[in-house]
Amino acid sequence: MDENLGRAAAQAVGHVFETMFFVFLEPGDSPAGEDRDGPREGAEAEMLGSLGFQGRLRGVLRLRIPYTLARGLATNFLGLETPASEAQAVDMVQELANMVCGNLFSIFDGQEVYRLGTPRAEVVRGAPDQEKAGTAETLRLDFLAEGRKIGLELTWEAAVAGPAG
Amino acid sequence: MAYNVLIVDDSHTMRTVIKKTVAISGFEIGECWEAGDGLEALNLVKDQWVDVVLTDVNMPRMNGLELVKALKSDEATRHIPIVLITTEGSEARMREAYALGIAGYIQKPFYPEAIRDALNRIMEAFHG
Repeated sequence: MDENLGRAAAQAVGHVFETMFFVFLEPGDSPAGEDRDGPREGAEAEMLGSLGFQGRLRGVLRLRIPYTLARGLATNFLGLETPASEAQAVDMVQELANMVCGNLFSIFDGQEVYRLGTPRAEVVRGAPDQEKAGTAETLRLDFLAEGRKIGLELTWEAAVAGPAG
Repeated sequence: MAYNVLIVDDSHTMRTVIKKTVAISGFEIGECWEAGDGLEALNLVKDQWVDVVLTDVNMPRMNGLELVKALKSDEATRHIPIVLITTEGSEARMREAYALGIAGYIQKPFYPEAIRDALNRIMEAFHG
């Protein structure tokens, strides 16, 4: 499961960045699944996009992007002549997380309808939360975009099967 | 002939990008309206002549599939072609959407050509 989900996640993130921003990602230097124990990108703030999903699996996807990179990507994406505002970058990161999640599950489990929650994004500083509830599994992947580190975290558990039909 | 387009998405960023994409696609646009959810879109359709609706699925208050149902169940609006532009790409979701009467389905992220080609194909089919 982890391996297939990891492959689908890497494919989805790469596809979304390439199509939206014409940015080609490289694997990050942290192996998948390695715990992070400190701030990423030095002390720079990051934008954290997240949304819940529910299908055969249910959980949360989190996407962390260096703050200045997110602002730059939003500027390019919107075709602006002046730097994108923080609000515009937040909105872009929400949509980015949404697209990654939707693409991930159409690659991983294309026969199943996954309900996606409302995406959220916020500016964060410091180490990521190490949330792991009960029986939940966690997958972490790092990527490099224009030399900057982007982190994807998936936390999930098998959804309880509902009535057929 | 220029067509009036309604773009429905809760993300202001996506509305802007879709609007720009439609504008540069070579597709002739008359008016281009925006709505942040299905309910806002329904109210707008009551007051304006809309030739084609491009809508997201996952939105607050009224989602894209509910909007499709509402438009297709009203005699005055059932002729309007609707294209879903959504992150969701499961086959089951696509089948459900086509069964409701959508004219096209584009998965985000998209290349501009996908929107141009879908609009040209749909408007030719609907308006000759």
